[in-house]
Amino acid sequence: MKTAFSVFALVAVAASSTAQPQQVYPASGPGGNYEIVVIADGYTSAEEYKFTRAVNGLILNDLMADPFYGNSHAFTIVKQFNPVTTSGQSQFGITPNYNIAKCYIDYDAATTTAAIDQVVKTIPHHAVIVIGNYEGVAIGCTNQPWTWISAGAREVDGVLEHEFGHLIAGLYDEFPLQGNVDYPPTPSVDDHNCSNVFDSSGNATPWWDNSSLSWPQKPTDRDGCLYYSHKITRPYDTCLMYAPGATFCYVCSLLMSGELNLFANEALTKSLASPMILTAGFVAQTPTPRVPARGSEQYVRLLVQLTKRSTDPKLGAQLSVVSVADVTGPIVSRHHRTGDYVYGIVEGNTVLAADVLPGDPFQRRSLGTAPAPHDTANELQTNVVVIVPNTTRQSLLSRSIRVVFYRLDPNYGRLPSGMRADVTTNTISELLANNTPQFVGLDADELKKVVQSLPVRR
Amino acid sequence: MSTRTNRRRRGTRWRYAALVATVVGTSACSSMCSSTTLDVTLHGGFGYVVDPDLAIEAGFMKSSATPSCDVPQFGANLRIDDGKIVSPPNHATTFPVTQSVVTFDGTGTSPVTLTGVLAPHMKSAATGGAKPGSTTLATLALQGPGSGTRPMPGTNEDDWRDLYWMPHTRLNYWDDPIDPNWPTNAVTGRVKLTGGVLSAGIPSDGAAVNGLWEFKTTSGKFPSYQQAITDRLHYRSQVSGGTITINVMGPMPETIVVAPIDNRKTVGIVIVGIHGGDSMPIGLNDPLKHFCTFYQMLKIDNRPGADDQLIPYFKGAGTTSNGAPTVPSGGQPTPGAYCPGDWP
Repeated sequence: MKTAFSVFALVAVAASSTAQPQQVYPASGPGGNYEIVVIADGYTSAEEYKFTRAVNGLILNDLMADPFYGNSHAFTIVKQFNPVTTSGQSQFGITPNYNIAKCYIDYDAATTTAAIDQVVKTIPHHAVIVIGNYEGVAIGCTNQPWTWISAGAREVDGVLEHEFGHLIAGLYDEFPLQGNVDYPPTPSVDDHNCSNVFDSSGNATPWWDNSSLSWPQKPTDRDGCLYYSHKITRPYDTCLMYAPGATFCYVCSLLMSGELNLFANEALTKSLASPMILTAGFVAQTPTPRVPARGSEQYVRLLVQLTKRSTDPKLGAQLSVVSVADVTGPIVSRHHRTGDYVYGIVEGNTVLAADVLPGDPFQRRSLGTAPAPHDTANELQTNVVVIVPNTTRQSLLSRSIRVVFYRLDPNYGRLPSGMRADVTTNTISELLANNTPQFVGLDADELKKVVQSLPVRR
Repeated sequence: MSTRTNRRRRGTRWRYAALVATVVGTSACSSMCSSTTLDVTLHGGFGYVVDPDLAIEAGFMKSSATPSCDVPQFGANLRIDDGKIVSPPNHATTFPVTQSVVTFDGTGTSPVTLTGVLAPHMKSAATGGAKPGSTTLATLALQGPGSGTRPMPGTNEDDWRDLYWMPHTRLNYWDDPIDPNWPTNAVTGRVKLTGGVLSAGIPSDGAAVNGLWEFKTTSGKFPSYQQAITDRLHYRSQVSGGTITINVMGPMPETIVVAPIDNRKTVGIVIVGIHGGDSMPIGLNDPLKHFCTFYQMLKIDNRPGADDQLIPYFKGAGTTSNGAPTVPSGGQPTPGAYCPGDWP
């Protein structure tokens, strides 16, 4: 109730005229199905040019000018200008604190997330970028499911390119942080672009060195990854996930390409890395049927708040639904193993859908003047989007649909190739059949209650 | 009576003539005398030089790979931030200028107006006028606008306008001349600015907004001093005509014409200098080691040794009046690829 009131108060800050979403990428024609909504924060009507300038700089001339993203055929980007009455006044309750340890901004996670959601929830999207009206200074913060970034960040390169490595494929940061020497024995990691697996002689044996995989350049297994300097390796000396001024390494390219291919309106047959690579790993991933034309499916979008009990639990989390919205847009099943948190949509004994949440949705990231390094924090609470496909809010009331969340063991689904199997509806069926403890769930009656009780906003 | 009437008529005619002339003049000027605002942001570790003609040059430093100074430079890029490239067609909005000399047509030959407390001293020395000794200038270098060590409140672009906030280590070495061949010996390329106004802007690094730095030598040769520093400068000039012409003279010379996109009649350009190297973030009391690179701008015979180089050390939020330990209330800076520049 308090959050609802606060959101109302924030929305009241906004000027009355909110423009309709406007596609900015591609410049014409339909784009891919990874949709990004870019919204303004703190701009008056007279300052729309500043927002446009920031969108051009941050999104079009930086992120999408990167051949990796620009050649992917995966993106559609829309912007929405929602002016406020006083310049610099945030309609989402965001104020810069300029402190990297505090994600550079002050905000109330619940209120801010709900206020942002109110603006974007009926627009199909996979990522929300909020541009704050602060010139010069390059600061930002990802607190899922949104990323706030200052307009001034357009003067520096690569920040969003790196950030979308986290958001799209769940890539790890490869850089060490000051004072972190040896990676601790647990949690074990051997996926994405970091590994702490060594043989008895102390030689690194990461998954990417599996003999069934071939790379244009043999990985060199460099010391240091995931914020530590030693006892954990990364594939190559440098990468966009490691240092500024770099591009994605071959391993990261492969993982990103595989994920972007799910969203592409033209099938990728090769990894987006340069030179193009076609590896066993790339084709090993489940071929994806081409997605239907954009805007052709109806689904219900739930914004769900997850609260975990401790920093590293497998179960026993709490869940509350922040918002429910009917959306029309493409549905893309994210079944690649880009993270360990997965959810299933279940009706009776039938699993209707399964999705993987990329990376660690509980990780909060500070974005500064360089793609790397940056600060991170492990939060106990986060918000994630759940898609209930091919239905409407109204029809949910007459159905018996529930949502189940699992946090998989990192080694779950390990394949002989060293990669990890996709998470499909069969995976969720298997977890249910085995009575695998859930991270958290939302049963059918609870879902019906929130569908009835939460206000409909369009 | 009639005389008065005639006078009034003559006066009326003159007023009509003046009005017509004004209208015609204004009309002609709106098409022929239009001007465009050129707004250039210089962002990164450039070596700034005040020329004898009071033009300003921002040099893109060469990489340094000595044991005491290892600073790899990745280069400088020019980005059209505000405006549309009209010629050549389909030109990239961001392009490298690392090995080029960049100038802008129509900015004239008059001196650049320098904003802030150090401007008279910089000009005086650049023109060979009164040449204060290093001690005098070192004393001046300690005094920020209003004798402050940081801009207040410091969270707005305009709070940082004074060029004092750009590091100015050579004020402590004013008797040691810049290498006359610095354009070839010390830098790979540069941008030359004439006319217009130069000011500083808010630092790009969030922690630097509230942070203080102590400039000191390890030898103790010069007095240390604390101040906030920025990595961004603004140059603003009015240029006749409806477009801005950028000349890029280098390995691949080209001329780029940029037009404003709306009735603000402004073209915005950002030039960034990017370097690699040090581990980040910078810890409390740790040096910003990359600063050593700016000493390449001095004549090699006069170049101070590593121990005598003024280098900034991060002091968090600064030292309290009773000498209590400093607290990095703004976190630790991670300037990454964008160190501040310097007035060498």
